[in-house]
Amino acid sequence: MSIEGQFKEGFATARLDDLINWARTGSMWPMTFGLACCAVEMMQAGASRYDLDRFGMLFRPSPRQSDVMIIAGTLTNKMAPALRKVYDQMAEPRWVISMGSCANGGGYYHYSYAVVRGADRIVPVDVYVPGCPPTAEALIYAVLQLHKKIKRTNTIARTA
Amino acid sequence: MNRLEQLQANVAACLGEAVLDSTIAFDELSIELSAADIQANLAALRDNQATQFDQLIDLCGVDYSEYADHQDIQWDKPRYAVVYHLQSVALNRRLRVRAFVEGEPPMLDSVIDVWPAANWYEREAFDVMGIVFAGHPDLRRILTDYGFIGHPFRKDFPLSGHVEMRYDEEKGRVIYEPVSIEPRILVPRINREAHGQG
Repeated sequence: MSIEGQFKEGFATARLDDLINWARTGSMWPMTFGLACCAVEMMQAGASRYDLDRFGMLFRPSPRQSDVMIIAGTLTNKMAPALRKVYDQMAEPRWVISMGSCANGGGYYHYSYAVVRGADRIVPVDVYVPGCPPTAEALIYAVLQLHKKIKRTNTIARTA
Repeated sequence: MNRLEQLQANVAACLGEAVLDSTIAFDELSIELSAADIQANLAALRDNQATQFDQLIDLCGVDYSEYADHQDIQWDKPRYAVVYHLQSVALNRRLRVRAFVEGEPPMLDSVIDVWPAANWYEREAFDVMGIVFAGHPDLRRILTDYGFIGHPFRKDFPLSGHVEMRYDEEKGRVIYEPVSIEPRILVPRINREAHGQG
């Protein structure tokens, strides 16, 4: 039996995971988590010149509405439990971008008594952005890298 | 007599014998008071018509334990000092007051009744230096982590502290562990001689 003539308007086919990944990468809402000076570069990336809106990224004030957390700045011991709590409140699937030297590995404050030596000690990180602070372009490049990483995902399975 | 010397004379007239030391350096006047009656003396500086120091700009603690180590001076004063920076808005004058504090923990009276602005400054000095301000209504830590042990700005506090954090998958929460990295001694390298600047 043929389906010719059944669809007057025409149609396209796609693999379901491609469709889901397209939808996911097209509207990655970041959790606003600016901790230090990197947050200013993050704001630059969000503002009109670099405009993260082009990628469907709208900064959200709530972890419940967020898909990606950009850890922008120095993660201190005092902040670490709060960061983990916010991460735990994010709905899956969720991703983390570690922005700047401090979030990557403590950076300038590596030997400090008050700073976590890398945000990956607290939450799993998908993309690390080097720099002190990274430029807005670097952050956007990290977002595009994260897009690539998500598009590589072929399963719809729940990931930890 | 310039205006700074005039201020010095006015402060001396206000406090009399209580002024242990009075120095003019870098266009600034610094005096030393005893910690025992600091509150009354600072209140006098605030209320005296010739000084009118109605604003507390800053309050901080100083640890002098390694002060004499690298310079050729005699130093027999107590380890800790509290430094007050005062401003008179009406007279456009500034004053630095230093008070050495003895004991462990070092303790002196709070000046929160003189200037309410002292509240958080004293909490900070308590937090990082361990200086106790008697009469402070709410002397909690203000900057360091909840449950932090020690006073990090004391010279004998190790740079990397005693604990570090990580998330524990099994316990499902952030935990503290003893510091795992090697302590590092950071001594600034001085290249000045090489350029002939002395």
